[in-house]
Amino acid sequence: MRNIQYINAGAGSGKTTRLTEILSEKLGKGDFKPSEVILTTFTELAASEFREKSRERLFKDNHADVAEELDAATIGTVHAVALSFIQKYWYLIGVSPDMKVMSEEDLQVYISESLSNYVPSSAVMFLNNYRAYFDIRDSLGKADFDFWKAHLLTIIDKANNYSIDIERSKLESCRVVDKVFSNQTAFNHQLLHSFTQALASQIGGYSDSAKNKVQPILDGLNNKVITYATIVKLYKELTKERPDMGKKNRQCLIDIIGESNYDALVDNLQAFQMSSTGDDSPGGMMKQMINILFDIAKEWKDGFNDFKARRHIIDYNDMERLFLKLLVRPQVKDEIKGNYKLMMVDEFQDSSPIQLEIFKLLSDLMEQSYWVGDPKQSIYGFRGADVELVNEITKQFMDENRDSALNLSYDNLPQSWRSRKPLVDMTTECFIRAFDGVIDKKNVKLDAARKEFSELSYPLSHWNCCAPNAEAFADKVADRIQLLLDNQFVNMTEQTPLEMQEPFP
Amino acid sequence: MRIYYSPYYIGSYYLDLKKHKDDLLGLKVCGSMELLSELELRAGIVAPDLSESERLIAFHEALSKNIEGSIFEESFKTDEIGVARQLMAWSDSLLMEGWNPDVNVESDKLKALAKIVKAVVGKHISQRWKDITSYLEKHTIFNKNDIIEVHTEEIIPKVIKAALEQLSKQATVSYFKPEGEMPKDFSVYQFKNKIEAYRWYLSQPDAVKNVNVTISSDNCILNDMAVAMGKPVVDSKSQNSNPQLLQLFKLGTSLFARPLNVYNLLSYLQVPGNPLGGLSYKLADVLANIGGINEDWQKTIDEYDFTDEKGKDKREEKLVFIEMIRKNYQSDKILITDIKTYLEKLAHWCDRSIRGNSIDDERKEQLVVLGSFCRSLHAILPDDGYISSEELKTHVDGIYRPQSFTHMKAQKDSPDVIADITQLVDHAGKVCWLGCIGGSIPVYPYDFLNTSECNMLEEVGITIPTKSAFYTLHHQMMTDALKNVGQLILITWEFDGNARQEEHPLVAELKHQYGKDWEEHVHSKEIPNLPHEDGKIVNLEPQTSYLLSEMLAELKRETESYSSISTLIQHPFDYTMDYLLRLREPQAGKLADLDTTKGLVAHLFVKMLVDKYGEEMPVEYQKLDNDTKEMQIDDAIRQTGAILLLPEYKLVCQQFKAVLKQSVSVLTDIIQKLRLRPVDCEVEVNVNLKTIGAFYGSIDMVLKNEVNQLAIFDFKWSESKSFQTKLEENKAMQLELYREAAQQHYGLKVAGVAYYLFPKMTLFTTDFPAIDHVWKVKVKTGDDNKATLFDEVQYSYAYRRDELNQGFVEDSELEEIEKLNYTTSGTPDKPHYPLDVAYKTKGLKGCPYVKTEKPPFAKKKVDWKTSKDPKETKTTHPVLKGRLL
Repeated sequence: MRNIQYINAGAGSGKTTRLTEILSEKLGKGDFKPSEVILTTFTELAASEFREKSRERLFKDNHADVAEELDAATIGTVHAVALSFIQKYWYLIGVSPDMKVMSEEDLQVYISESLSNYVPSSAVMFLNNYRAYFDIRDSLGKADFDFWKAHLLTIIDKANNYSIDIERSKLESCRVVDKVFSNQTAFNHQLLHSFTQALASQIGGYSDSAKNKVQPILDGLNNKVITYATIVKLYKELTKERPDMGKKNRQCLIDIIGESNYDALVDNLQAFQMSSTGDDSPGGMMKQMINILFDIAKEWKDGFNDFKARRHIIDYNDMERLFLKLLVRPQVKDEIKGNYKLMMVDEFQDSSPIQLEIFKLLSDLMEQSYWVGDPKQSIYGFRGADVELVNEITKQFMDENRDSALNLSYDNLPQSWRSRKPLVDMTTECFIRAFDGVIDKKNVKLDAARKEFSELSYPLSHWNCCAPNAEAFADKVADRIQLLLDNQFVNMTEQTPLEMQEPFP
Repeated sequence: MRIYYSPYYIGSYYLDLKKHKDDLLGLKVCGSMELLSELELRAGIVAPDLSESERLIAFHEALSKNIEGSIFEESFKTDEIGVARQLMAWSDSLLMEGWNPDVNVESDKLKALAKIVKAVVGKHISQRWKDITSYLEKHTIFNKNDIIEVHTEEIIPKVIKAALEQLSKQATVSYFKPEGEMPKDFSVYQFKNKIEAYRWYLSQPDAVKNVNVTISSDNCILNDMAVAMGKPVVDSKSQNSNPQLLQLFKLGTSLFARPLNVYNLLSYLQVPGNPLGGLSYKLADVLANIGGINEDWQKTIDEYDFTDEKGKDKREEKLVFIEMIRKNYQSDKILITDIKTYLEKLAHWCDRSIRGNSIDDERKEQLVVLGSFCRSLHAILPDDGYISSEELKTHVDGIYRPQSFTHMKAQKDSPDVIADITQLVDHAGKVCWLGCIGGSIPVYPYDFLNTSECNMLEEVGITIPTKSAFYTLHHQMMTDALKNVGQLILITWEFDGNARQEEHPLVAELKHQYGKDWEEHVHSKEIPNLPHEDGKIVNLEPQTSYLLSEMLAELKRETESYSSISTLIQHPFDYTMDYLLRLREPQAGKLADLDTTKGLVAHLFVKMLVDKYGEEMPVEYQKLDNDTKEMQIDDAIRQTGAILLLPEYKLVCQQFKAVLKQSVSVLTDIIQKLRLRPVDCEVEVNVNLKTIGAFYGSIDMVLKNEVNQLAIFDFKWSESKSFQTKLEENKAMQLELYREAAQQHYGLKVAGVAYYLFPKMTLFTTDFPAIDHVWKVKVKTGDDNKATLFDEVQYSYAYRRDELNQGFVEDSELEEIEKLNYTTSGTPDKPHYPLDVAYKTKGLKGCPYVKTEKPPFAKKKVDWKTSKDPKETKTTHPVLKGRLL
């Protein structure tokens, strides 16, 4: 990690403007050619906007000749940039030159197809039982037999993004279950059996409504395996103020099995709900599921990668993984070093660990890099963005004892150009409190760049210029201008140009 | 003779015909291949013009023999065709620039490439150019008066430049470069989206009148809109597409893979112009209806008449296109000779079809490509042995590439259209650039070369343009071409669908150039120049009934069913259209969805058990071991639920089988506990019902109790609460109709009816006692209701039929149910079956809740302002207004 300037840029602080300024300056002076630039953004839309604004800036700065060459620059999302290098050096990593990017729908089909090879029937049986045990349902209330696929994908996804050891994670996960389900209570089958017999003997006399509500519990108690869902339902029925079976019927059951047995049963049911003793306890079931899922993930991860390689499919994780693989090859490093000199990273805060590794390796090959980010705006945690890791890295730029040979520098864009002072102040105040201890205060604070005109603030904020037609609109505008003139109008157009919205339909 | 040549003149170009009216006969516009053909023709040199696929196969063969130990070996193992295609593209670029594979091989990459290139059988295009250059050294094929005017010299490959140099010794070869400036007279028309822009352009406003040529690269949507607006269409090509006919290749070869993909089979059978002919549509029908391959499939084939118009039996010839599905291949062991035979036959069928008299050019174009796909795969596959489904798919995917095909051909009076600004052969007075949008950056073709390779090539006189130079040149070509334009109209749009469009570099450049004056050139509020008519606007009010013909009285179904009766009562308009007039939209058969398929298999599985064990089914089922149950379910799946055999449904299938086994076990328990005996399944009853007349029904399961009374079970693969609700509200019409029908059919009293929901493993009934897995539903009925449900159905049926007999169809989406004639005419003595008010919704997450079933009757008049129903959601979409709940 060397020759990098980190720019801390809050919302509306002119991040894109700053990056295009730097780009135009560097290209205009002839320090670099467009073909020597790599710029990564987080979305395709941002990449497109960046190309537009850079071109505009180059024309503005009278670098028309450079603007003509701008298409030679490598501007795109991290994945698009990664893919362009994979498509260039495919033969070095033994992949197809004709990789198809996997769509979300394809991913689902491929997952279903490949997954079936790694999930044994015994696992399916267990997962079905697990579903029934906890009565897992989807948003429509239907039995959700696929609930575990999302968990499995999360494991695989995390394993890909963080290069974690699956076996270790499995043990850690089981340890967490043991901590949460810390009771060592075994299930008292004998007590429950007596209760079930009592209930079965009584239910015939219940009203239809009570019977319909209590019968499912009895069905559950008569099953070979008593599920967690049944235990919870029964526990509620035995303890709630107004039981579905009715207070009298409940008292009748207490009388049959005896009060002490009844209390013991209630205690046992309560304790067992947080127990991990025995395979049929909730904790025990969870640990079995964790073992099964992690084992499947371990096998499937390699198999799925083979499967994709066979079908010449690449997903976003693969793009990053393969690019990283390329970046450690001497030949590729030499060629990148020879061909590229400037790297810019937008939305740095949303980088995943593997992306961070890519940026670090690339920066070692560049003459100069700029990383722009705002840790407050990290919103891609679900895609692997790691705020803590990003924060740790950005701290290195601010460390006064950093190695000067690394040429790491730090810059901050302290002003917000987007909003008015009260709004900027308010958000700053909120953020300072929210990020206390997480982000340094000076990296959170923003000052409003736009000047406030107290005499204009009020009327401006209450202007309603909507009108049904052009004439009515003109009348309203005239009226307002008169009002402004009456209030000692200050011409502010040259200081803070405001954009007019479409005034009428 | 005058030839205009530029590598850009491919497919389309603009020539000022007025300017050339006197010398049109001696004039030719050529792209590189056309020029080569012209030269070879004049020289009398015959060189085969290989198709892209044929070249690829030749390259693949050379690659296979020389891959060992090369840097491409590992990649070749994963994608033979992909690597061949990529290396062929690299060698094309290099060879056209004069690369000599015998000499210029300094790097491992070029060394490996050279070895392959040298082994390719057949003449490369660069060699054809070299041959013609050599020929020109000694022979004259033009005379001094002939002129070859070369445009865009800068991008001409080196081997062509050499030929042009030789040509200049015998004819006039002039290099034309437009001079002057970009047009000062330009206007920019900005639109929000592409469709608005197209509509404006097609309405021929003054701004685009007298345009000499329009630049538009993708004309398919433009033409579709032109057709809708009654305007002539221009030439258009479907880019990156494979028409249905070409899918025969992918679908046909996929039928060798195991497990057989029934979706592919159905799609294969539904491809228009399928080589199977009429049989394919019959088989598609069978497959879509049954969901698997069973005796009906074979019966359809056996009964089909294969005799052609000349009286020849074509059975064997046709069946070759479908016989692979009967073969018992293993997934990893498919007989290669079988695939090759199929490919030969399909290619042969293409050749024969091309020779046919009544075939149009578009189809011919597709058949040629289909034939070449088949031959390519045939050439790649080994001569014999076996191949796995996975390997076959990899080969097929490698060959099956999206192509460009004719979409529409230009009609009389259509505007002159070119695809790119660089295709202006002559100066054009007024040019309209429809879709001056950025974002499509050309691919730098020499990206595979590193700096040292470029330097090495430079040393031997082969100049590879740098990436910067390439893009600068690309921009230069555009600005040069613009110098050929008098007046320029640029049409831009901000969005194409939902995708924001990038600004074209030209627009950025003009913006900068014109600075403050830019806005003067921009028009952003243009509206289409459409004809308009003044007149009174008539508001159409919703009708509560339609007066159709009294002849409806003459129309009566011979036999009614539960669904027809229900439709008549709930949706009389649909009943009239669907059941009486049979005005249904024709639909291509499609396989049932997953839940329906599970239901079909479950029904068949229970039927198979009852057929086998009869009354003893519950006892016998519980004795069966797991393997036997699995085998019987598998049999049912093969017959009616083949989609469950697809690899992507393997887990679903496992889970389904587990649930089904358990559910049938519960069902047998219930049957035993209720002391019932199964009689039959899928019982077809044809009876005469009072008021209704002839009635047909198929009862899922008929049982008998100890006193010889009947019980009726209707099976559902559903977890919906609606069946329980129907019983609660006394609206289970289906069960009541079956109760009446079974009573007549068997002449026995019906003791009870019930729904059995497989996934819930619960029997819902109002007749049987509540025991394990039996939910006794309490009916919520009003005190004044003395009529039975069957009575209500009869009264309603009679009322609706009476309406139809008078030519009336009641239909009103926005009228309150309480105010409908149907509702008000029901009396306590003769009550009507209540109308449904619950709409089917697409799931709780889908908001707003848009109904997906037939138009319902509204419970009350829709008024968003006063509505307190939390489920009623406002929508801004006019089509959806009033149809939400």
